[in-house]
Amino acid sequence: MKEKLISLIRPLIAIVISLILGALILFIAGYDVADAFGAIWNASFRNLRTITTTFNKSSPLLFVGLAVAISFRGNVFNIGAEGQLLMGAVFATLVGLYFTALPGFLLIFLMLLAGTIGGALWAFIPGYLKAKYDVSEVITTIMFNYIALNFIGYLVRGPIRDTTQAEPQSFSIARQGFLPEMIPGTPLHFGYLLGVVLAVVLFYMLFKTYVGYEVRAVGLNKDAAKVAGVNVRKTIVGTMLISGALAGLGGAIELANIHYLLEGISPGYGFTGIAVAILANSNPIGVVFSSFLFGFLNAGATSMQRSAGVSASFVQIFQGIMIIAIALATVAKKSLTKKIEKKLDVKPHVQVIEEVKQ
Amino acid sequence: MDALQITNFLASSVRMAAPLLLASLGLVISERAGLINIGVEGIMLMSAFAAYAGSKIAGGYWYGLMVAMLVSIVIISIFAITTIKYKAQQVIIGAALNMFCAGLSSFLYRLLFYNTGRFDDGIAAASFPRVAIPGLSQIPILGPTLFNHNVLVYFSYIMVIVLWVVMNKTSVGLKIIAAGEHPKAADSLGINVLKVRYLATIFSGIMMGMAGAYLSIAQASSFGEDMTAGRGFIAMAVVILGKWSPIGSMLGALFFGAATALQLLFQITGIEIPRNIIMMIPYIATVVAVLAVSQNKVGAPRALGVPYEKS
Repeated sequence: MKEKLISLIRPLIAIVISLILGALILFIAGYDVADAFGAIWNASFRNLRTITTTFNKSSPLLFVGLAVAISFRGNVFNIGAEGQLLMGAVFATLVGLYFTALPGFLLIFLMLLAGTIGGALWAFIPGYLKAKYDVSEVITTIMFNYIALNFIGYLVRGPIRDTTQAEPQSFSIARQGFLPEMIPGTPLHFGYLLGVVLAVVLFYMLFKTYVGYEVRAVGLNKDAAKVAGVNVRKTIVGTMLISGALAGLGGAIELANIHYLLEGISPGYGFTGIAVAILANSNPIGVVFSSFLFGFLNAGATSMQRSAGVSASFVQIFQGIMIIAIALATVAKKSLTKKIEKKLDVKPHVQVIEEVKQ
Repeated sequence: MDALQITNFLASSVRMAAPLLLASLGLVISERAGLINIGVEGIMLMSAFAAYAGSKIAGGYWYGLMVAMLVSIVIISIFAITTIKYKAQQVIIGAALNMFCAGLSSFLYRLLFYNTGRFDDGIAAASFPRVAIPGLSQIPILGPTLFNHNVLVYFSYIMVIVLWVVMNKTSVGLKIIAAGEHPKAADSLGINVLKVRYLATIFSGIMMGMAGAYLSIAQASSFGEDMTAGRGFIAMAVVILGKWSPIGSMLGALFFGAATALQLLFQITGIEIPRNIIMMIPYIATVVAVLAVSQNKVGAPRALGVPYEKS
């Protein structure tokens, strides 16, 4: 229990540091800091509607956060959650546009399934290339982001463009494919609930099952995992498949939430997902909370731009600082443990704790 | 297609290759020293903005270039200190820098140049003019392709030669390679591995700054949010394709320059392919190229991405 409390301190310190640095930047730029932060807070916690909107905005972040978290656990740097989310949205759109005769429940199910497959497929290629040919997944997943984005651009400008709209976007999906509301009259939808359930499932899988053990073993030390009898290649591909499936599902849910496809469907959710996962120390349960924090920031950013005149891109600055702060906090903790280690001469024990916690 | 179109295609390939070459030459040195920095994308973007702001506010492209290089050095110092001194995960810090720079560049752009909903008195900033080399630029096809560019392009090719000499013929090159191949052995020979890594990283920052400046005040005379559009990442692929050598990077950059210039060629020749499909070409080419060289990884620094800890 004490261990768990200590592990909460690190992200909290990182959040405080980024808040201070963020405030400093706003102050130097000549903005009213209290005004700007107040606008973010008000945008989210004013009433039931704004609170549920924050949950709505957290939904894609929850899914990509889980996607990135599992990949980091397996030491696969999936920087491509963005592209996988986009492909999930594409697949869901196609189902939603062409299977209009299906009843609501079945259509939604098929859309989400298609999105999951789309995301998994988009992650499979980089995963396979890494496992089989040792091609860096960092480069390939990044490139796949751009390819997916241009693919959407092609679709919404060409084959599925709704020509009645000024901006390039697709036709709306079938009415019964819209996600049902969890609390009637609010934007909170059942997709979010699914994300929370998946977070729990993923936590269980990662820490209580053999598959999860394999993922973490490969993540900790490939060679040792191999000696222990883990099929490293298969595990890498599997990790990428699960990761891509989660991101794709998030994209499908977002699509069913906004009802049509457009190039700007993701304002960089996949990249924010990296921050979400790191803040949660790649713990699926932690992702539920950290994704809410970033959803809250994203929701607040637009209103901050409106009422305090601060560019919404400020949130990205904030995210960057936060990741660096957490990365440094991790290292600081390591060197601290080492110092204690030296003093008490308890190396083996501390090492075990370190490994379990990683 | 006639000679003029071919010349245009070749010349624009060289122009498109230049920012990739500048950035990848920097990356060759820092990766050779053992650091993998995906933050190159963000650093280039921030430098592109800094160059634009410097050129527009100070009123000269040389000022723009200087500001870009300074800003780039400051930002890459964050990378250097966190990853070399504190041994934080390089890919994570790089990803963080990308977000930070994307946010900061558009935040500052709006703050400085976007008043009351309209951009200030014209968007254009002073930019590097083309300098035709007398005589040589008159040669048919070859002249316009190679000898009618701005000074940054010429500089990038001079740097190819300089870096080739440094890496292959000097003790500095040996130190860099040792730091990236076998830091422990290098250390035992009295090489200060951390210092070598710091300097290599700072050097790569200067080159990234130049690459960013090229985008905003040489190729264009304005800044746009996310104007790098993945060029920093492609520069990383160029390094892999060029097997971590300056000359290889030059060839790799030209290959990607040509892939990008294909867009223009398609427009000129009037072949009807949707724009977004054409825009995928450089990214698909990157994946294919990285895959193609994956079987023959000669040249990849052995300690790439591994922090060095003095024991």
